[in-house]
Amino acid sequence: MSLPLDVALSQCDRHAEIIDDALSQMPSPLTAEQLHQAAPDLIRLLDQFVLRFIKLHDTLGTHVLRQFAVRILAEPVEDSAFIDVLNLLERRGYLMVDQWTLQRSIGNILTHEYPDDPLRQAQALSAAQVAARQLTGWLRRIQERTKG
Amino acid sequence: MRLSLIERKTLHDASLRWFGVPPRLFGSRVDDARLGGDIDLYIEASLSPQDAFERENRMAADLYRTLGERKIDIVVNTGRLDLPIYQIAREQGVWL
Repeated sequence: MSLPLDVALSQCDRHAEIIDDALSQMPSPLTAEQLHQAAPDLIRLLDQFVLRFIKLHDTLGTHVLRQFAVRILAEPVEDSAFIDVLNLLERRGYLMVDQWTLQRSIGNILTHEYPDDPLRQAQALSAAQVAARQLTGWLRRIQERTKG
Repeated sequence: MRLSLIERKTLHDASLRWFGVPPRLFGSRVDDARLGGDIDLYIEASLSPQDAFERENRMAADLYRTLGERKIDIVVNTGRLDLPIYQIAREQGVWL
């Protein structure tokens, strides 16, 4: 069951704040060497960043996008396939479908640990930094339209 | 193998598109006795790590779009490392 839109957006806002704060404190892009030598504080920051990035994407996908399209944009997509909701929101300028699915892929890669391959971990985290900035930007537009 | 013909073809075509080779399916989806589970793919391709990562990501993104938001893990062996999972995937893997 979906959360009420205001509750879901409030959760997203919290995720985005933590993402923004984490992004301001970490090297970007990250290298395998930096990860290899990372102090515990940086590891904790990265863990928090990854968790919030995945949660933000998930909460938007599960609780926000369809409700936003139906309730705020007054589009009749209550029973449409999710991909059709995404396509609609792309046409209305709120996201890009190919980037949305890329963000999903990056989140999936980051759910695994790669102790034998720090380069891969660094690549995924660096891609997530770019993706997270994009995702929080989309969230801000959705929040503005919802308030307006 | 617990994949429909359409799913097999979609995975095959996506791998050809992004890596130029067909993938091998390994993990729980190879086992007919199990239920559900992620789709685990193994691909060998001589590419730079950055190129391989970007292609893997784009392939997964394509698959999320065509197959829906399924859990798909793609392991790409570029020859840079020799990880235990490569051996497992080669032994268990079924060509798609």
